[in-house]
Amino acid sequence: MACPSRRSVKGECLMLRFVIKRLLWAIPTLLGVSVLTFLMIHLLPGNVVQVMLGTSNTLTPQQMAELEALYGLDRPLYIQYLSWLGDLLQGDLGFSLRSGVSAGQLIFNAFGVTIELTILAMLLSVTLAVSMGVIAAVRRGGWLDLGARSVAMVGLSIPHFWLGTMLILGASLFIPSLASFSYTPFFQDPAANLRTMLLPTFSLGISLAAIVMRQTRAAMLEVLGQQYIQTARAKGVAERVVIFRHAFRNALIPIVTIVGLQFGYLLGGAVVIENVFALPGVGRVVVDAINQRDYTLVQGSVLLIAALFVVINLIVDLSYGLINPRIRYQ
Amino acid sequence: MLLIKRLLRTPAGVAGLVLSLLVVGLGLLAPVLAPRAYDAMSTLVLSGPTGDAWFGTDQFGRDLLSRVLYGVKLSLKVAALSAVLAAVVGTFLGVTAGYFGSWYDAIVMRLMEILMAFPPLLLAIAIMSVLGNNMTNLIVAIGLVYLPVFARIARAPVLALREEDMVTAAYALGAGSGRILWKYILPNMLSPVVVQLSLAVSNAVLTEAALSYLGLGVQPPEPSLGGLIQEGQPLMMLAPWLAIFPGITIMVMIFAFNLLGDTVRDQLDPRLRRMLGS
Repeated sequence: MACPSRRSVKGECLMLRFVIKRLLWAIPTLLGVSVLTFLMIHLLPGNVVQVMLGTSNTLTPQQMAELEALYGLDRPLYIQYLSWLGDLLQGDLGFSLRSGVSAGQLIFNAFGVTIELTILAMLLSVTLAVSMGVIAAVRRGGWLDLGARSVAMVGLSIPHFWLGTMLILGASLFIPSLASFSYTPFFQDPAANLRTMLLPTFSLGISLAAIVMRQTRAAMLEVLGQQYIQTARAKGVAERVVIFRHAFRNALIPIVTIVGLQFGYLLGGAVVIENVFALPGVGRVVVDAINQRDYTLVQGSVLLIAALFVVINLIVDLSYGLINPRIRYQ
Repeated sequence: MLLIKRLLRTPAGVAGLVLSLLVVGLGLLAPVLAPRAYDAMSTLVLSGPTGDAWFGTDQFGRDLLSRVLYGVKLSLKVAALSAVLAAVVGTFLGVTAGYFGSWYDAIVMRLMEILMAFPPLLLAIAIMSVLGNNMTNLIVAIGLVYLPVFARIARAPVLALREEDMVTAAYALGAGSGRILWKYILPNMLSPVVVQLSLAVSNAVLTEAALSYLGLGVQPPEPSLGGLIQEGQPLMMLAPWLAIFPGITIMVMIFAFNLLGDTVRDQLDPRLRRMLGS
């Protein structure tokens, strides 16, 4: 791409190049994800028609062949993939093998719950973890540091689904209103929604908080040891300014990286937490679909979450360029 | 031996090592230590913790302590084998990709990137849904999930090592690729792999527990820790110990392996060791 030579627009041009390069890089990964999820259903013993008919299959070989032809299963695999990819690009994820309803519709209905849970858990953990991590680094070796590190170590070790189970037990005994299993959509009743989401959010967010806290502490410690921090202090800059303007901003890259990387873990974790709290999200859809051998639904859900994960990673990559201008110049 | 000596220098290292050995010992000796067979039923149903049944009994009168001990054994077996599978295959792919480069490197690393594009637990769930529930499939599924991390970690140092004089000298003396990889490259890049292996075990314990909790792991009556929590959940108000003890056990296992893994990393990473020492 031709870039104007004036220095003021050169930075913007480099940023644009950086964005385009990263966007192009995501395409083969997304294609790879689509191939893998497509092949997933073809690794099953038999084919979709046989899975659909189950053990009650009384069709003759002729009828089976006709049904397979109807679903395009008699075509070469790569043609089936291209046809599936074409439908996918038009938002068609196929249909549920059990209910016959559009898989896309079922998954999109559930997706809002999963996204809400993931975002709430992310907000809770980042707020908790970044403040704890900065304090622990600033008070290195003190009681606050020791306390924060110990809490993080325990937080890392607690299985989130077990924490969820224990929170349900605790809430049932002491605050029964929090142990409700009836999900209310946010736009219907925000207060009731947030009350239902409180325990799942805490269960899911706590292990991420531990990871982000450790990363924040380590990144802050590394930056606080740099010479420019000593220079800022020697110049008499207020400690608050040194920590937040000079140190924290430079420590942000590893923190953003770890938060972005952990988004996928949160999505995976949400699958389990939704099953603990009976939330009607994609996790419930996936597990119910697996139990009913509804593989198109499993395939669609996995594909959608993986695609979202790739996009999140892309956004994280792009955010580096915004946080640290040196990266987009490289 | 040197690593163990270094581990024993720090309180966290001692605690991590002792706790990990304790967990491994409990798992290995489960058949000896368990007061009863894990599937032996009795008339003493849903009894709380007592002197006879330390962790209480379940709705079929089975001793929970025995089931937890067997669960630890199963969990360790799955976690260790899947972590080793991921480490061996991942390191092989990473080392060969880094050493041979070219199209082979491009293909292997793109494949690893695609695998990493899936949230780990979701990938494990998808693999299990296709392969079916049994222990071998569980090990393969968890191993596949953690394999790309090893490939990436192993590849990076090889890129620098293959340009070293010792490799050029070995090549000039007629050493083949296999010998160079085995004698000169592998011994010089194992530290990060060992660190990752110790952390992968604790991740594998957690993944196995989550899959079993969802009913996608080892099937009953064989006890798995995640499965025990799932079984205990509907009875939680009546018999909370059924979910409490297996959960605490998983927590202690992960805590022990994380503590050990963290200390191993601190000791094997010279830059970090200097920072901690200063």
